[in-house]
Amino acid sequence: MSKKSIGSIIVLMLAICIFAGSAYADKTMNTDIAIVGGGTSGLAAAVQAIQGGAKVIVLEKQAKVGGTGNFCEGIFAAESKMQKRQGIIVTKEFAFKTIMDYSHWLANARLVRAIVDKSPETLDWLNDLGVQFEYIGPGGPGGALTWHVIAPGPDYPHKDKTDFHCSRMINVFNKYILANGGQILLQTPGVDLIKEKGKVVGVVAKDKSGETIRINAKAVIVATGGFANNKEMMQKYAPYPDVIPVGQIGKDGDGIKMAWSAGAGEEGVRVMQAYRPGLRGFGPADHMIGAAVQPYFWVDPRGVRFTDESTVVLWPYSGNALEKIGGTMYSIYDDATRRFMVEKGIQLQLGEWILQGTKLTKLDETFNKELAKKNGNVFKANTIEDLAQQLGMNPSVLKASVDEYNQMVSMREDTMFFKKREYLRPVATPPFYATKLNPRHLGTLGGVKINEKTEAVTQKGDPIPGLYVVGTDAGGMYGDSYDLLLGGGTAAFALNSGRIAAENAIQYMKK
Amino acid sequence: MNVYRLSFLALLLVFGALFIGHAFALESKHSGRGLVCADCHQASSPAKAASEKACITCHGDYQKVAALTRALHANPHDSHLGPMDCTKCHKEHRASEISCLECHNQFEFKNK
Repeated sequence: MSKKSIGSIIVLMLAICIFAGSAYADKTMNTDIAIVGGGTSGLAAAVQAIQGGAKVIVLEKQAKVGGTGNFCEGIFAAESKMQKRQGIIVTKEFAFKTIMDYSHWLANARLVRAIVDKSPETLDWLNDLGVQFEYIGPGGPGGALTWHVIAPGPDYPHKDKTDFHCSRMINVFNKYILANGGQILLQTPGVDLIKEKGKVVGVVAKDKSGETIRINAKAVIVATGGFANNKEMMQKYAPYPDVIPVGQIGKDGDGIKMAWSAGAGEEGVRVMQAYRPGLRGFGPADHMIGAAVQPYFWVDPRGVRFTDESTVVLWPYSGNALEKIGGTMYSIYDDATRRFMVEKGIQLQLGEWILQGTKLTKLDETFNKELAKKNGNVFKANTIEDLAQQLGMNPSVLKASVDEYNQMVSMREDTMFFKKREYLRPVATPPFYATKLNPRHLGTLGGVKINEKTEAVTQKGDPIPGLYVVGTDAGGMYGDSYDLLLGGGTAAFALNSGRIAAENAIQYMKK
Repeated sequence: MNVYRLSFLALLLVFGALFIGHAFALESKHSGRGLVCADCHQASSPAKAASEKACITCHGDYQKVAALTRALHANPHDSHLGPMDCTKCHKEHRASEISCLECHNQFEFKNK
C-alpha cells in the first residue's frame, strides 16, 4: 500500500471518528444543583440556591421560563408584615388548622406546618428581590385575606402583563439567576435522573436538536409542574379525565415519572386544581364564560337544578358538584339578566380576570359568534320549552325547575340549597340564553411523596439522598380536593417548597 | 453478480426515497419555489426533522416575523410562550396547526 493511500485511510478513519463522536457523544456539564423545570418553584429554588453559594443549572422544556407561574396573581402568607400593617389577623395557627381541617387531616401535617411557617418570610424575600404587592385579597369573596397580589414592575407602569402579577416575579427570578451566574437551558427538558449507589447524582437532559446532555450534580430538584397534559396519566388518576386544562402546556408528568422510577413514593396524585366551570378554548377572562359562571341558575342535562350556584365562589366546590353530575351543566339566564351584566356589570368578580362591576361589553358578540358556529355550546330561545328542546331536555322538567326557582326568587329565599338572596334573579324575560359548561382545572396537585424538607421519600418514608421534589410535582398539601379557603396557596407552596428544597440541598451538599 | 445486484437494489432504494420525498415536497409552497429536501434538512434523504435554523435563514428571526404579524388581533409570533419552534405550528409535510387555539379558540389566524 502506498503512503498516500495509507494517509487517506487515516484521514477517512479520523473523519468517521469525528462524525460518530458528534452524533453520539453526550455533552457533559457539572454543577452543584440541577433543577428540572423553570416555573415558580424551580426558579425560586434556583434563586435561593445561588444566594446560598451554589452553582445552578435550570432545565426548562418551553421556549420561555415561568410555566403556569406566568398566570397566577398572588401568594398566600400568614402573619405577613403587610397583613399586620393592615390589621388583618390571619395567624399561622389559623392557617395550619384551616388547611389540615379542610383536608380532613389527609395532608402531610409537618409539610403544611413548614410551608405556613415560612410563608411570611418568603414575602420579605420577594420584596428584597424587587417584587412589590398591590393589595391582599381572599381566595373567594368573604374569605380570609391571604392572597398577596403582586403589583406591576417598575419598568411597566401601565400594568404590562409581562411584568405584572406572578409574571413580575418570574421576570425578577429570571433576571436574578442570569445576572448571578446561574444557567437556564431553554427547550431542554430533563428526561432521566442519574442514580448511583442509591443516591441521585445528576440528570440527563435533551436539547432542542435532540442531543443528550449529562448534567452531574450534587443534588437534583424536580419541579416540572405536574401531568395535566399527559393523557394516560390523566386517564389513570384524574377523577374526571376530560377536565379542561387552563394554563397548561408540556405538563407531561416528566418529573413525577422520573422521581417514581428513582424509587420515590406516591402521594396525592388524584388531586386536581378544579377551577370554575368553562368551555374548551375559552380563556378565564372570556365574557361569555364570565356571564355563564355568575351564580344564577344552573341545571344538569335533565334540566334539574343541582347546586347552590354560589359554590363558584370557592370554585373547587362547583368543580366537584359538576363532576358529580357527569361533567355537563347548563347555565341559563334571561334577557333582563343579560342586560344587567352588560349594562350594570357583573356581581361576582372572577379573581383578577374580570373585576367586580365589569360591564360584560363583549358578551353579546362572543355569544352570538359561538351561537352561529352551532357547536352545541350556546343556545337561545324565546320560550323555556323551546330552549329545553334545543338542550335535549324534557320541556316539562326544565319548565318545572324554572317555575320552582322563580317562585323562590319572588319569596327571596332559596329554600332548596340556601343560596344567598343577593344571587337570586328570575328567569322570566325572553329571550333565554343557555351556555354549556364543563369542568376545568388549573393543573394537577400531587404525585411524589415528600417530607417537610421536600426530600423525595419512598412509600415507607425513607429519603432518597440527593433528590428533592417541589411545587405541583409533590403531594401532601391536600386531602381529596384543591383548597381555596386561603387564596394563593398553590403559588405559595411552589415558592416555599422551592426555597426549602434549595436550603436543604445546600446542607446536603456540604456533608 | 451479487455485488452488481446489491448495488442496483441500493441505487433503486436511494432513488425511490428521493422520489417519495420529492412527491411530498412538490405539494408544498417550498418545493414550488424550487427548494429541495437538503435546503431544509441538510441532507438529500433526510433522517431527521429540519431544524429551526432552516426557517430563520430565509424568513428571518422571530423579531422579524413578529413584525409581519403585528397588526393581527393577537400576535402569534410575540406570545407569552416565547420563541417556540416554528414547526410547532408550521408543518411542511402535513396540515399546519395553530397551537394558540388549544386555549384561545376565539383567535382567528389563517393557516399558513
